[in-house]
Amino acid sequence: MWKKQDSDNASPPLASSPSAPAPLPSRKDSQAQPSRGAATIGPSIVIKGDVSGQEDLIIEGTVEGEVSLRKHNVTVGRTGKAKADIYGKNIRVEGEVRGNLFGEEAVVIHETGSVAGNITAPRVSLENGSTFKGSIDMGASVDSGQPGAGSKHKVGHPGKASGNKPGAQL
Amino acid sequence: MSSRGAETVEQQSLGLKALFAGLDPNTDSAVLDLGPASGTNLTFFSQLGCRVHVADLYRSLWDSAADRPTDAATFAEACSSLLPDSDDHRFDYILTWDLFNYLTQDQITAVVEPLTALCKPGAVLFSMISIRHQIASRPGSFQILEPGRLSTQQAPSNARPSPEYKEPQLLRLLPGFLVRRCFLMRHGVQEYLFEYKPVSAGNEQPAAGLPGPRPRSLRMP
Repeated sequence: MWKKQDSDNASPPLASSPSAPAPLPSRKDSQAQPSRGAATIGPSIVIKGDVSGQEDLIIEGTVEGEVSLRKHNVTVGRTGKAKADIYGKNIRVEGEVRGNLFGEEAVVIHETGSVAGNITAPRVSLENGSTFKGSIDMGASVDSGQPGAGSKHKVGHPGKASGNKPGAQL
Repeated sequence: MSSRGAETVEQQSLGLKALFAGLDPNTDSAVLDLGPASGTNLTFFSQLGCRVHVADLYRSLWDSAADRPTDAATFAEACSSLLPDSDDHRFDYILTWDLFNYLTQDQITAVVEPLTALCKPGAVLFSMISIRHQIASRPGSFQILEPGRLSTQQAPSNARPSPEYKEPQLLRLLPGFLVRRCFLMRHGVQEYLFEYKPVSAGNEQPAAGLPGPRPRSLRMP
């Protein structure tokens, strides 16, 4: 689904060894979504507030607040900067995120991606070259917002982005 | 970590092998990795049922010239801010890799203090201490291929003097920790498994240098 500009930036599958977990969904799998194409926040766009909607989203601009598209795919493109918590079905980061990621299916940090925050998803992939600081929890339920056994749900590090501005509805 | 001039080698790691030997995948273990994030390591830990927190301490402290701490107090504050909140996190395993080789004694003390607050009783801290006179210019990037084998990416060696920390020094710098296991590897690294046994837990803490609970020290043939 992720509408990449460069065809050679395909994300390799997670499974590279016999004992590795199941591969993450391919673009083809993720394209089995509502017929409407992904919405895009362009490179010059800055949104301060909460973003929610019923379609896939590509962020090439700047978002400060919260991005909530739980049943859809969210991509932070190479020029994208998100100072926000992001909720999505599959989340792919090629740009910069300062906030927590909650993927219902998977979270992928591309080699160009940089994330400072916690990741909660059943499957997580960190590609070589990516930058990540934070906790990874593959046993928590995103819907319940509860952490895995033995730990409290902690928003932040570097901290949850505030969202006091009006939300942007897609 | 910058890959310019870096070389990748595979190495054995008896310390890691011992570290994970007793790990039960059915228990909810938590790992604090002070090195850079690695997809390979994440896969390894997930297969063991571990939760992982990545701090990437060295890159965070040194790679940004503007944020580089210039004094001990600033360094201690920076370390505390980079590590997770001890109110919410406690760890069973802490991987320092070769970080201590690049810290002064004061800096090690500054790092260990918040680390101690993150340790569960009995937590194990893994550290790779160079016994060579010279070390690479910066810490390496380590990927766990299997419990006893690492892939190491590191800048060319012999770029800076090694502090060559000895065990008594390390035990002074890691109060509350005892040496559980120690392995001398032939590539010039002494791998330590330090176990956190706070005195308040009722465990008698032997003084540095005295025989402790360490079973044996193995020298790699």
